[in-house]
Amino acid sequence: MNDPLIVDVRRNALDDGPGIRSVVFFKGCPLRCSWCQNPETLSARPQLQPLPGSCADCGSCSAACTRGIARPATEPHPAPSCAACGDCVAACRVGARRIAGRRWAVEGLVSLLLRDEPFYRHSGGGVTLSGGEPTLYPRYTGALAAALRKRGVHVLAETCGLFDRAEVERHLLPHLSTVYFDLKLMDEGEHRQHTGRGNRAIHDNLRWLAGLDRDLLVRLPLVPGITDTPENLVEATALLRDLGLRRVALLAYHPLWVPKRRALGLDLPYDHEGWMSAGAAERCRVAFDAAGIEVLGA
Amino acid sequence: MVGTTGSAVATTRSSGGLMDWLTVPLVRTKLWFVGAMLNHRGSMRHHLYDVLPDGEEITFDARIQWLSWDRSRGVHAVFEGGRARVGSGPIDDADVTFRCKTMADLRGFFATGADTLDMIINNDVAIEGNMSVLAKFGHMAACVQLGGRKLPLHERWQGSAWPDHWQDMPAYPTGEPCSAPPASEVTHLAEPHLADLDLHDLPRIKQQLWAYRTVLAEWCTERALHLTEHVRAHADEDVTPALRQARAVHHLLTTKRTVIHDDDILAGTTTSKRIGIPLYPELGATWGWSELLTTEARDRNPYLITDEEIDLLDRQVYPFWLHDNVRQWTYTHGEDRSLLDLDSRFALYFMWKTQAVSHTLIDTPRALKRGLLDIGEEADRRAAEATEADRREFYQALRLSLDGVMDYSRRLATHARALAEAEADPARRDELTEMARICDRVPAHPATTLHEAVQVIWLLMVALHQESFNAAMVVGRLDVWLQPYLHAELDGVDDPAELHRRIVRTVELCCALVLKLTDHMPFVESAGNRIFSGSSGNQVITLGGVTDDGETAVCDMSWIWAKVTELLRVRDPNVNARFAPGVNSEAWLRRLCEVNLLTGATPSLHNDDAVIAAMLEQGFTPEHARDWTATGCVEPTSCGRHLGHTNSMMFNAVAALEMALNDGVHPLIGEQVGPCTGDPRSFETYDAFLEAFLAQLGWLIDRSADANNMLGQAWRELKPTPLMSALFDGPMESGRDVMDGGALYNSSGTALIGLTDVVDSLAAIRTLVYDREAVDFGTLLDALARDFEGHEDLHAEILQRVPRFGRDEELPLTIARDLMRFVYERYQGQEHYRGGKFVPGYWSMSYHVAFGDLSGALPSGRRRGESFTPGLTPSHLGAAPLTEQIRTVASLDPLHMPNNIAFNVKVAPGGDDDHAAVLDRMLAYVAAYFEMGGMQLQFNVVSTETLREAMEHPDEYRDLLVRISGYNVYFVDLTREAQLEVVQRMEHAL
Repeated sequence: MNDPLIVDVRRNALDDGPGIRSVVFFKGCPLRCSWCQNPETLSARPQLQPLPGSCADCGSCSAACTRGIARPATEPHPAPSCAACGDCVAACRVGARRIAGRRWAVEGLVSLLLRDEPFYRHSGGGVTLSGGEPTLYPRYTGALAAALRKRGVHVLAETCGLFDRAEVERHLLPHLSTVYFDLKLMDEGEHRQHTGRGNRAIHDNLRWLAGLDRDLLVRLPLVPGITDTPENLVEATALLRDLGLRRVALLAYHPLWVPKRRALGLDLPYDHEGWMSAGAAERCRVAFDAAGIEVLGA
Repeated sequence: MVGTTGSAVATTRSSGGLMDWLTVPLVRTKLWFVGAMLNHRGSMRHHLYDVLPDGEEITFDARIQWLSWDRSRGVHAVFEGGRARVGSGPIDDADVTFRCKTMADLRGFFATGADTLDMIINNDVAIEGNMSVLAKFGHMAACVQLGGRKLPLHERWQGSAWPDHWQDMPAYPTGEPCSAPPASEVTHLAEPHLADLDLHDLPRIKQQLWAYRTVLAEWCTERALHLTEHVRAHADEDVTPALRQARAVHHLLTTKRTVIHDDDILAGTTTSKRIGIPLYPELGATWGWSELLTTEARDRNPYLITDEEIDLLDRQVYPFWLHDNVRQWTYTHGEDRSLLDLDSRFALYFMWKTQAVSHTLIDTPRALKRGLLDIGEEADRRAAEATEADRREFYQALRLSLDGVMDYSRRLATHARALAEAEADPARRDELTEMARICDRVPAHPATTLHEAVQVIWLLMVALHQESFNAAMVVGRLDVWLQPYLHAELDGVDDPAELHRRIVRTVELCCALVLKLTDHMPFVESAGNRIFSGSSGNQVITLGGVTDDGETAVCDMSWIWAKVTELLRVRDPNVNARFAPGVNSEAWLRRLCEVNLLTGATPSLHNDDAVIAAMLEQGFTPEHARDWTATGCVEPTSCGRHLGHTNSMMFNAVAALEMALNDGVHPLIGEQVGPCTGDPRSFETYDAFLEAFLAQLGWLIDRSADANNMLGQAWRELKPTPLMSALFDGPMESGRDVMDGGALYNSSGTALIGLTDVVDSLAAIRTLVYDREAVDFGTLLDALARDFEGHEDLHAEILQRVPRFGRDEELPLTIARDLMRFVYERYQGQEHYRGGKFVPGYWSMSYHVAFGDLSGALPSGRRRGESFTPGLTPSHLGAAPLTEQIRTVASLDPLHMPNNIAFNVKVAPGGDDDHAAVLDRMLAYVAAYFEMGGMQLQFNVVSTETLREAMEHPDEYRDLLVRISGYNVYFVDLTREAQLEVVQRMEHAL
């Protein structure tokens, strides 16, 4: 596979692993979770991303568009017909749109990430590979992780769990310090319904990882009405116990993805604009507490 | 006169033809009324003609004119022979001339409640001449307007009185216990964080803190009155300035009232009030003349004053200083009075030497080890050996001023003994007896105990403040200097209970010293609040770092001071901490971060490596470079041997940019100020514009250095400081006063304000006008003149698409580095009146608010009147992540900022992380910054939300401490503009 596209490198991240980190967001994901927090990373191809917050509504994007489809960032983007040529981006004076997804040579990315190396070292932080799905590109992410590890940087990958085990085992896993593994729905049908794919391979991968002597943390996003049901949580508990995993991170739902997804011109398969209350998150943790599984975050 | 190129600050005041035509008759009528009242009303007569209790007759003679901008029209008042005359049109030989930008401003000057100093700062009115005469006139006008009665205390402050409403105070949270005390730095404390100690263990300190938090500051007339009496009685004596000053200081110290409060552990007070405003009429105190009747009515930082004190100052003090003060002396004797006229436009630079040469510190260890008697005897010997009369008088002056200090101490002893005899409580009686013993012994003799040493440090501060203005007199390295005494106190004490008792006693003594240091405030005019918002004396204590030979200087006493800082959370003294990477323990840095986390704003953190490197470059020996303390805000001074006057001026770097944009016209001032460097529209390249900007900047730097030197001459001629000189390293050997270059090291420190705003503006000009050709210079100037109104797209483009200082990008960083090298070389190339050099730094007190208020919209996207960025901090407009900001600031060359920087970081701990986890991250940021070579960093640990709440409900947040740009302040004391600046600072998660 070609070098992957990278959507963002977020520096000074405090919420994606221990310490002070930089997070690399890869583009492309095998799942299509209806609540996806980073909808701009779903497609593996370059994509026009309107940024409505900065839009001056001046229309220079429309004027510059050779296909005549570009609209100010405040309006929905006609995604299917856009070739992400970038003409409208160049024309926008106020930076209200961008092409999400650029290629980085590994060396260049490593040298950017190493600029914050003293912060990683002093804080017990490092680099987080996120996305999208970093395991889609095991050769690239593996090379990146290896170069960073060589410089003493802690590397963590966040995965949805659906990956080619042999490739990951061969290229990426040896260079990772930690894996954050997202578990969503325990019921195969529901998983397929809300993420577009079944969960069997994911659970197999988790079983495989749990059997290795690796630093591993399972995370479960609490999505109201979908993953936070008592049945789902109880079954998740059972799986973790079965695998001998004693810790879980619960990620409380937030709706910050909704405007991003709208701006990209994607449909809204799941519409829940409220923030999860502390009480609701607390109720979810009870199931894990009862099973003797330590809950982090939430 | 007014610039023809696009003026950045549009004047939008309404001006009607008829009203303008009527202005002169109108204000003349008002002025006539004031004159008539002064001439005829019995209670007002004394303003023009007075007979003092000793029979001396005083008349107010002055010529004042208020003119239109072109000087063609206006009114005048002549005060002569005890009468006031008013008339139309200009006059000759005016003492003061006001030029009003518009006729509306002229009317405004005479409007009820007008703050004339405020109008001058705004440049609605320009003043030439004697500021004190303005103040006198202001007072007379206020008396006419208010019927001679002072306005009542602002309602916000009514009911503040101690000790009537004593309430127990909650203790602030303390930190975690120390997990592993570093053996090399802790010898006597088993647990150096003293985590189990809180305010409730120190009941008397709590009482003192209560007093400090509730008592309002009061004007204290004692010093001003005694000095005036002395000067009147000895006006004719023909002696050297040094001896004249020494006699004055001696008089002040020997007549100073001895005050010992019921809760005092240390003896002596700066003023005769609980919290007093000492007055220095020979410097700037006459500026307060016009505010005597309104000083209590201020909503922020009011000062109390009695009717008797108003009368005393108005009639028996200020009249004698109308012409006899440093600024006026310089104005009449200096080579180039236009340098001071530029100063009084407030928008270019602010010269501190009109008010003080402070921002330094004496050689305290010498006073502790030798005692003043021994130092005085050395002065005697040298006087006896001196062959020249001047030299002999100089040494006599040193001796005389030391005698004054010892006399004051002995009188305190007598007072304490008398109190002891009358005291019923045996414990307090013992204390007072011990106080008397100590004051009898020190500072004349060497200090032998911790208590004696602390008393000496306090007494010398009191004494110095009789001689010098109470702004930024530094306390110094109290950990290193007191450690030997603590050692003696704790050595050989095996009983844990006794050891604990002595440690608590030490903490109590240190707390008592801190609270003593809060017993005075510098006088700040109402308008001055805009400039030094909420500032106190800025006395600095510096902790940690290295010893003269480069070993760790962190010791038990360092940790005790950290604890004291955590316990009290007071604004002043300003605590600064040094960290020497690789020498000091990480535990020390972690503890500093913890104290900062808990107090919200203090201490400020310095990288010893960077500061010492900068000092070595300035020619200090390694030993002397290592022995540095912060001064005022952050500036390094080598202890006791270096007259660095580190805040000799505050310099508006943005003014040079505005002048370059307007061919030398400063838009707010409205006149050609700098050289003609061309219309920017004609510049073909960025380099051509840069050259114009550097020409303006260089010109302004030259002027500021000249102004500083001219004022410095005045200090040399007029105000030598024999007491400070007696306690300094250098004058004894050189036979010269510190004001005359007698110190071992000399320099003047400057602070350049608005560097980030300039860098971001240059980056925008280069990127948009030249590299991308997205906008032409004419359009940009038009946008600036309109404050971007109608140019919203350009504004958005600047905000979104121009690289900014603080982002990890090459262009702004290169611009900043080049600019700082230019400033450094330009200042270093100046002549300096005491020998030594000018050293630039980048911190801003609250001048980034004041100067911002006086500046137009900038190419950086900052709008008209908004604050500049504080110190050397990336703009909030760039919203750069903290790691990138830190990396950027750390990439600057410390050698080019020898007067240090203030890098402000606002952090808000969020989430559910515990204390230790938050502290870990804070430590990581600082450690990484220092490792990358960063010089200074200061955290405000407070959320924007809390700040907004404090603006809404100030009374619930009276002790909310924030760091502005180098100094600490209670947030609620800040002006609204300064509060908003802190609110808008970028908030980083922690």
